[in-house]
Amino acid sequence: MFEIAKLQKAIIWLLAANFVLGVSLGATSLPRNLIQVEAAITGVISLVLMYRLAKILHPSFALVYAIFSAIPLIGLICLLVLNGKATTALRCRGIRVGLLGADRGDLSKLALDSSSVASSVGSVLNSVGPFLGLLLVIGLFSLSSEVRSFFLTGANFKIILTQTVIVAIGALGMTMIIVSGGIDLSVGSAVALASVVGATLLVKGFSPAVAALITILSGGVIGLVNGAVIAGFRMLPFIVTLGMMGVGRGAAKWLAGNQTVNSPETSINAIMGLEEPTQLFPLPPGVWIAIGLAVVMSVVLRQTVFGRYIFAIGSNEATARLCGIRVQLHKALIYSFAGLFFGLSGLMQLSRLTQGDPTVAIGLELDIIAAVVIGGASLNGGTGSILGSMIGALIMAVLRNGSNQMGWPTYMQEIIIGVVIILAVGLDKFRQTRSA
Amino acid sequence: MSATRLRMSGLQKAFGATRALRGVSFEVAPGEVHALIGENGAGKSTLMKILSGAYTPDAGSIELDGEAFVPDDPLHARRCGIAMIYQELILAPHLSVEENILLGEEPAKFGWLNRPRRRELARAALAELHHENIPLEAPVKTRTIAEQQIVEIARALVHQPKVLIMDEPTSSLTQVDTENLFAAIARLKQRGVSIIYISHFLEECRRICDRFTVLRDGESVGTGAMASADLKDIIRLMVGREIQDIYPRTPHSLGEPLFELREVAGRTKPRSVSLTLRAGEIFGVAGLIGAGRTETLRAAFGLDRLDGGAVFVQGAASTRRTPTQRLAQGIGLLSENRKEEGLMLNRSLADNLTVTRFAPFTKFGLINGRAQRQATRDWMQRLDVRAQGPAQAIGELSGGNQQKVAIGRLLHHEAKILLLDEPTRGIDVGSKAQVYKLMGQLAAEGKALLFVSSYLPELLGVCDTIGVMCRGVLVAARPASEWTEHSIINVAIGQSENLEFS
Repeated sequence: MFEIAKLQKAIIWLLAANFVLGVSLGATSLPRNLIQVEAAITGVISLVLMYRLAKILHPSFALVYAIFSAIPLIGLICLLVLNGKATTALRCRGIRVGLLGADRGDLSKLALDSSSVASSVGSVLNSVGPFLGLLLVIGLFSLSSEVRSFFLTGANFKIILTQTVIVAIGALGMTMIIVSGGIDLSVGSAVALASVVGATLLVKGFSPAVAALITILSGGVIGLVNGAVIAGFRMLPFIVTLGMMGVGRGAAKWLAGNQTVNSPETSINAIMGLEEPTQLFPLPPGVWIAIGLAVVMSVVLRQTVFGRYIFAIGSNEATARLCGIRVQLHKALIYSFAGLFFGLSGLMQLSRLTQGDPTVAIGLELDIIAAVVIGGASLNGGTGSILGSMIGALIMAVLRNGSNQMGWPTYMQEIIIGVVIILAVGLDKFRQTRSA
Repeated sequence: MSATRLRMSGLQKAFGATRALRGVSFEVAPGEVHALIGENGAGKSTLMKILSGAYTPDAGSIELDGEAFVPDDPLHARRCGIAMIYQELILAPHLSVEENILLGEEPAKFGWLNRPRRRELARAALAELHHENIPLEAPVKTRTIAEQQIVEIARALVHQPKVLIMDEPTSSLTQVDTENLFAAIARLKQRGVSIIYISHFLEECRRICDRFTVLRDGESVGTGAMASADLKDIIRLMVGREIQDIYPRTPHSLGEPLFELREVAGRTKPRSVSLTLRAGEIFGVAGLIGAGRTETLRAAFGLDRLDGGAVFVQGAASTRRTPTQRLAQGIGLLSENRKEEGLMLNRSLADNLTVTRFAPFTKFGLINGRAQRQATRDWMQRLDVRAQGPAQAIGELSGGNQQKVAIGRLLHHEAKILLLDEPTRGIDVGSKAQVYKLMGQLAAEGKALLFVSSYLPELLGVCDTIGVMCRGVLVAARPASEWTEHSIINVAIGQSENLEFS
């Protein structure tokens, strides 16, 4: 178990290193000379992160790595080899990699006109904005040393991450929907129904694997119905999913006989179970499932034809039609696909509560929508990212957890979260009008 | 009351480098119906927007009943007695006839609506038009287009206007409704209302107008009495410019028929369009705004419903297809509405250019972003697109560069049949010349181009064949060399033969 914890830690550091590189190189509209400065800064940050990674893997690795990184050039090459995307991005821009990533001569030649600097700073802010928000929130809760001793601990972050899972997995589906210009209000009901379905199947003696699969599929079926009605009758997603919110909730209560269904002890409960609650690692499997799916969905949205079509439909449906994208078919696909994620959220819910509760997750869809919007997506469609939504989900969880640790009453949390949502969207609006 | 109701002298207006009005002067007497005639883009709408207070003129003056008139905004102009009826109806479809007529001018006391008074006013306005039969409670959307037009006019009448401006009021009316409208105009005239009547249909103007003014390139070039005027002279005044040879021609020859429309009809427009487009041909479609040119392209491409007729692609019948299928057949459509339909403004240049065909850089369903950007860069170079790079959002580019990307999308798609709807609209002269040149090159490569334009010189300069549409019908298609601006306008306004009221 100790080995697994170490491996998990290593993966987290690897992800962090990639994140830093990804953010800076993702801001592709940066002018060349700014990229060099960026490369220098992120080069250093990444080196530190990679060093930690090596140390975690094996102490002797750290020594070797330290020697390597003493020669920054080789260090950077190592880094670039590790991160293929970075290599191509740097090479594409013809960046000469010298001391600390950027050539001195080139740095002296920096001639930045103010508008391009402003727009680049804006685009960097765009991609790291939610991340900064997360750091800010964590920082604020860490101000008081009394609270810090509870709040800023591995054990507490394990709880936060576990609490995030349900919203985060839902946000994966919701990001697709919102980017395509739609909305889904039936998520809470879908989650409740799925958890009841799962619990009922377990009670009836189905194997955990079969129960899990059907639980996820039940969410998919709700999504399919949503999508088919929205696409088939060209109806507003808001109305259709509002109706489904009632239908799903009612169906869950019906199926559960209007009471909670206690499921027997199975391996499903382990997905969200907290082992060794005093330390951060190992994280429960649910967290890893969420991270893994986030990576997959990030690739799907950014790198696949399907993903581009989602953005195209959200950006301008008329253009999408003009360009031969089967808009209605894709809408149906998007809602069905998202439904599977909501079903998975339901499975996580079942695992956490170890029972199917038809009255659970009321208003969950609003938390999920808030997470996606805080993460930078626009309800008008066409913008949004998985990474942003995940950070948005984390911000929501940290706010809840922090407020608890501060001993604030729940009504206070609700007010704070409401204000944060408005602030986040207002900030986004401000950013957009500035850049327009 | 003076003998002149409205006098405009030396009106000028420029938008940036474009001089929309260069000096417009004319007068309208009380009870006069004055025809304002001019080609698309001659400056009629700019002039009307100045009169209704939407724009402020750069120079010149307006007098209303002998006093200087400077409208601050549309509301002010309306209060001063200038009412405008737009070509596109601007009614609130779900509200009742009565509510629409008094929208924004509801009789009220302390915010409390006076319903009986409103009813009275609405009834009076309709009575004045002899249309008491229109039910006041009915939602406007349940009435016919002609009745909606009457409601629109009634709305203008509520303010007891001195001057009523009508922009192409008959363009969507049937013959009978047109007669009703003319009767209403005659009654207004008797009441002493001055009417400025904008229309492309000279026969109509001749029937109901007393005098006319012709606008050309932002100038008033002639005024006269309608009864004594020769329509030929009016047309000469409308056109009156030399065609300059700014159209680079790439020699190309015509090949096999690639695309054929046979009596194609849409839901309302077009009514009947037949044409044959050959490989290496540039086929121009001329016609007035509202003649159904855009609708023809949209129906043929599958964006709008095709109600009748047949479409043949490369000789094979292929009538009803979705845009997806049309693209698969190698047909591409350039939308006339770049911002609303043509482009995804917040997406990157690369995505906009390659969205119809990701295949060249897709492996196992994953798009290779680098290859995509490289392909985009190649097209940017070939089409001379000025931008920071393939990742820049397309909304940040200038109109000309946006248009080049929109055309580039068809080229990247390797479309063999290109349906181009107003490809030079709203772009600068330099970009226009590049677009003409590109069109010639594409024809030389054996592609077939259907080119819809409202600007006659470019049609005459670029096309091999030109067809002219009038009221939803493609009336005549002939080699471009057999057309002149005069003859095109003649057909477009339904002059030649007896096609207008068939």
